Amino acid sequence: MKDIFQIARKEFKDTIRDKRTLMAMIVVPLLLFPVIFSLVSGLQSESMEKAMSRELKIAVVGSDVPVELEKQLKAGNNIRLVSFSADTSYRRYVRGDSLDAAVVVPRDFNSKVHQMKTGNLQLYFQSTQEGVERRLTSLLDHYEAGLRKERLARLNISEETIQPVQVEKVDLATMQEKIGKYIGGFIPYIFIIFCFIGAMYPAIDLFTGEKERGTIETILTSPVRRLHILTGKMSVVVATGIISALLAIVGLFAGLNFNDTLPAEITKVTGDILQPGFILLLLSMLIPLTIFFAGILIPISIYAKSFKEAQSIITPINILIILPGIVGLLPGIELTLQTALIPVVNIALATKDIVAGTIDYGLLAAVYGSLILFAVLTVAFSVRYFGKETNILRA
Amino acid sequence: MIEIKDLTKTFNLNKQQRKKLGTRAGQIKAVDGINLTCRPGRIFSLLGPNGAGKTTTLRLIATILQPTSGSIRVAGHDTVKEGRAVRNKIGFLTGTTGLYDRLTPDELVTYFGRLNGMDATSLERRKRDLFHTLEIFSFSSKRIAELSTGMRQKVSIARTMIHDPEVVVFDEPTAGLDVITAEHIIDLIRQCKADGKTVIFSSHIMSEVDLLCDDLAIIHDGQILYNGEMSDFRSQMVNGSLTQEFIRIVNDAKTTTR
Repeated sequence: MKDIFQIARKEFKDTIRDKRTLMAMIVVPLLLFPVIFSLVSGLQSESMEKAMSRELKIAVVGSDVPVELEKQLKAGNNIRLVSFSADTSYRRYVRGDSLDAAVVVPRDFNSKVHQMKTGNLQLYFQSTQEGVERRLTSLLDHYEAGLRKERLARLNISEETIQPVQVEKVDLATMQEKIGKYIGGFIPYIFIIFCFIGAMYPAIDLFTGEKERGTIETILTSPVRRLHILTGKMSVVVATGIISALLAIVGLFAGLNFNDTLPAEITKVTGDILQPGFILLLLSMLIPLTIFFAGILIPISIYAKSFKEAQSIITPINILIILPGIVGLLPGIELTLQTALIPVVNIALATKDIVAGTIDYGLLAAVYGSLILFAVLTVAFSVRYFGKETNILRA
Repeated sequence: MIEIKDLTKTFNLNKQQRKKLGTRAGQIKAVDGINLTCRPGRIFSLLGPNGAGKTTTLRLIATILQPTSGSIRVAGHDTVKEGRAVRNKIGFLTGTTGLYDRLTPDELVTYFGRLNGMDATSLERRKRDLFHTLEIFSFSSKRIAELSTGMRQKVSIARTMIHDPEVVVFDEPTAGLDVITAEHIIDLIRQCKADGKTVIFSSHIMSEVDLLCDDLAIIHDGQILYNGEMSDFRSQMVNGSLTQEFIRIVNDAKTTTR
């Protein structure tokens, strides 16, 4: 036990002095959320605002444009109308961005409207130009509403007559449930990835690095038993994975609290979800999962001759971790006895249910059972692998 | 004391290794039935060309590898059954031994002292003595990454000797070092002998062997070609120089096996 502690203490010191590990383990998880939040909210609110308020150049095409239509369009915020005779060049101008949109009034439009028929208007726009369609549709709807009112008045019909039913919608789902459904799957997924990335560099550094630097023989000729060397090193690998996940939680908190451009509901719901009890529960699943990760990473790192070789084997495994995490985010995939047994997926699904308050405790037990079993299997494999002299000394 | 009896070590070869060695055999005998005895207060030299089995033999002594058959006793302990006791009695140093770059010499030597189960007081005292003799104090709290090759070598020596091992194993200890740095190692080997330790070192440099050793074994293809005292070897020489004699013995072995 003393030996394991000595090994772990030294390896931990060694690890936190490594800039590469430090970046992956502390800096990236800590800053990821604050940076993403400020970028996304900054960009989005800015571009949305821009799209809704910038000046739109609109052509109204037709020989007989109703005055009321022009009036309604002009009433729109920051809209400039351009008159156009009935040729077809407006299409080219809209395509070429010198016009934002064109409203085409066919020759028979006015007569149809007067005859109480449906008059057709055409709106030419590019959906790639954010906000154009939305702004114009709302203006044209106003125009239509005006005409409808006129007709109803002329026919002496009240508006209620043509609206037999009005549905009042009352959503009883709490904000926590609505947002929790998405965030609940997303939060564990982020932490799972950090558990893996945080454990990855120390694993390579503590095993492959030992080979690369030519220190492996030195540690093997110390009196410490090989199992204890492995245990000490493995505990550091697991600890760094957990630490970087915890730092990601800290970063998430900081990002939520110091960014006032985020919608208030998201901030509130995420804060409500991230209660100490929930974090502890999540952690109790992440620990066996990280041990499982370490059990995969360590034999690879023992096998590899160089940092480069280790990385080239581990990179595709990264995808194997990320993909099942995404499966957990898909709607319609629920925690069942089958999915409870698949590592990574099971944590994402279980957390989703925990957040929504609909967790089945039998299935949660199956999740723990599976996580622990996988951890034990890979650790046992690591122990056997580290015990084989040809693996450790492969050069 | 190191006693090696009928020691054999075979390695399984994979496809790649078979191609490299130009053989179709599935196994190779790196060490093939060797018998050696290294006595305390004497320097034993294991001499042989590259790939002769020197490193494998030394790794077997240091318990890094397990013998396929035969046995090794180090300071009275069996390397297979009492691995931990053996490792506690030996210091192991190779020419290519690396150090943990991100630790300081002080941290590194303390670490290995603790791993060898030393108590704090004797560790401190021993460390102070070693740092003094090797003149490590001036750089003992710098990161090892910042040290010169000569400084690193001194730290390696302190690391090897911190627990005052009874048996010291050197695997080509001067490989890749300049003469000045190599001199530290030569001094260390002499000092070990003076302290009554058992010393075994491997080399393919005849001058080094000539300078230091009391007993000599020449190894080739995992087999011992000569085993005896250095003085006897000198008197039996057919050729004028030790190097030529070494080459003659190895070449004779090659022609007889073919």
